[in-house]
Amino acid sequence: MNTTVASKVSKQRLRRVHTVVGLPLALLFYVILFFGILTIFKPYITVWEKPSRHLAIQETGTVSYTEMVDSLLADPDFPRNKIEIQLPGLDPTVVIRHVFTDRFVFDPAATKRNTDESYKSSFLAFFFKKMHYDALLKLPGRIIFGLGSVAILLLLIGGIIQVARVRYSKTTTRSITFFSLWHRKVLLWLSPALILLVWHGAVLNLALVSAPPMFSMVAEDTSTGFIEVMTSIVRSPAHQVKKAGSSAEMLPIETLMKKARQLAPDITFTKAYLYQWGDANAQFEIRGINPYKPFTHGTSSFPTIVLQGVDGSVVKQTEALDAPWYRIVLDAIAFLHLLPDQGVGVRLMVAFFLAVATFSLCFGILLWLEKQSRAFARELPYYHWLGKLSLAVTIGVFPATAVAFNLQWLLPMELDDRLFYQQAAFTNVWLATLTWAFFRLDSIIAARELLLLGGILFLAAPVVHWLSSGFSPLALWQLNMDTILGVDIALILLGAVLILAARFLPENSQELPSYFKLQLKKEISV
Amino acid sequence: MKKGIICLLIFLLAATLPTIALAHSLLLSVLDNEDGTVTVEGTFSTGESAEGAKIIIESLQTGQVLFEKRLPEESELTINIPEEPYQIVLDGGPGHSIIKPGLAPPGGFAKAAMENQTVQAQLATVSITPANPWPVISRGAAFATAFVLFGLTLYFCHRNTSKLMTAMKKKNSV
Repeated sequence: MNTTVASKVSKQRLRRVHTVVGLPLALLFYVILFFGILTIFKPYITVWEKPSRHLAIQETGTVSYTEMVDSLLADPDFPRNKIEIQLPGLDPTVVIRHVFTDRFVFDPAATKRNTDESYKSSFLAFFFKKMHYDALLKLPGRIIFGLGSVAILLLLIGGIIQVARVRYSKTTTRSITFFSLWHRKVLLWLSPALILLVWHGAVLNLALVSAPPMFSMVAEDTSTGFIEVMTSIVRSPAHQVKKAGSSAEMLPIETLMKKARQLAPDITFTKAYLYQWGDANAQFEIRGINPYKPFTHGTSSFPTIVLQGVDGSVVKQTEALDAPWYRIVLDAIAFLHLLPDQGVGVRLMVAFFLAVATFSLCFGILLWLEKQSRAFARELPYYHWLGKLSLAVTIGVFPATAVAFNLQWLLPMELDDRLFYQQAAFTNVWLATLTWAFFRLDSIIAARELLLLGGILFLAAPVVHWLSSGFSPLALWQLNMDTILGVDIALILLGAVLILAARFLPENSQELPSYFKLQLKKEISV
Repeated sequence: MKKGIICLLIFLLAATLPTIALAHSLLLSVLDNEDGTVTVEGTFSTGESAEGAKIIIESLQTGQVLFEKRLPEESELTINIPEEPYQIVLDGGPGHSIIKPGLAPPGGFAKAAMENQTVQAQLATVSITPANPWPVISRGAAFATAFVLFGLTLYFCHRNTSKLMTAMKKKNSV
């Protein structure tokens, strides 16, 4: 075989492998990306979904933490070592917990304890996160998603090789060339970030699952487990404080926080820890992020300040880049995926690029479907099971997600099995969109209907929230509940975008060619 | 193809084995000191101490809490073995409890035989309240809806495919 033929055959194989692997995995990747975009906004949705978080956001400096902690320490059984205080930020409440107790949620303005909704009654944001990495299938789900991520990685790298080797058309006058161009272009531009994200996802899902048995096989010393070894590398050693044995008067926590802010004005503090509180050797640790040094910390290492509880003298102060090089590398890799304590600007930017990548992914499926449909007459709607399934997965997910948002505030918080009803409704609505996709002969008509339905339901969700919570948009604005109002506005915008998208699509598939200036007489008809 | 499926199934089965080692989890160990006491130690799988976790000794006969204390800095407690069968609970907060059966003292439990009869008598007088049927009905309805929708999907697929085939045949014959 001469080199020209060999080259042609290898290019053909590249394209076929990409298609054969890509088609089944495209839908899995879409689900991962869709719920991944929702998970980017998890801290905001977590606040929106809970009645106990409908409070005005207070400035951290005005909150009386000492009073809150003292109310818990009044119980002699409450542990005194490593008490965690989550400072108000996106979440307006102060959450105080110990690893061995319940979470205690405080209204910072009134310093009074609120009733926290447990995971059994309010789970929406975490539900989207679980859909992102295991679709609620626990370990088998993690393995499937992990294996899928590895295959997606190969698709991305294979796609880059394909673009480098194959000469593609640059015109967009036909539907096929349009889909092909934008599928290649967008994913090529975003491939470095996507490769990093997908690789990190595969590590979290698959590597962490498969590493323990391999570790057990190769480790000579089996007294130490995999998790212990991994934690010692990935995390800095846990701060330990030995008790002096005698009690002492503690400085107010607000004073210690003020001192910490003076020592590190660049740091946005997020959490504080109290060690052996009430003892002469008590210490106060505060940690946060440096917004001016992204990609350097946040997951494995943090800027921290440790002060003596008795007099506020500095015990230890670490900066963002003080960690060992391997932890900084780990944080850099994990940053784009986990966005630790990042603000709305960074999250919106990452979400935008991932949304564009999601569109581009759909163009890949549409490309294949358009090529297949060339064998059939244009007068008849093209009816293919993959087309219908893709329609239900990619567009049907919008009404299903909107139903979940609506039910969050429609169902009473005290209702038993609340979560089950919400998740069952989500699943059945999504399944119903599959039924509708198969019911409609013309996929364009079904797509318009599902987009319109999703848009209307997303517009309804904030209204249901305002009526059920008793907070109007004006009240949310006046009471400084920016996080919650922001989520309502985002839902309205999303609903509007979906309705506009439904209007933008042609009336039916007969009108599709005019969108791409297709020359009908050149089409193959049976 | 078959071999591939079998390999995948074996892999999935093997992958379920290390679930215990996967999470940052609590570990409880109980040591018999052979002097009528046991030493209870709690640690995390990462090696960190579980100081602050609660140790609860519960009677298996009456359900009463016989002893309750949080682990100190050393992360271990030495407890006198009760005279009745018991279980040791390491309470690591909501949803994180480890329970182990208690070790018997040398010579066995003194109160076991006597109290058994009392417990049996108590159990006999407990009235059985009817379980709430609503969760079963709602779950059944949800799964039934899903099956119906799936069935309808297959029906519409078949119906529309037949419609299109008929239309194509008509078009070709014209």
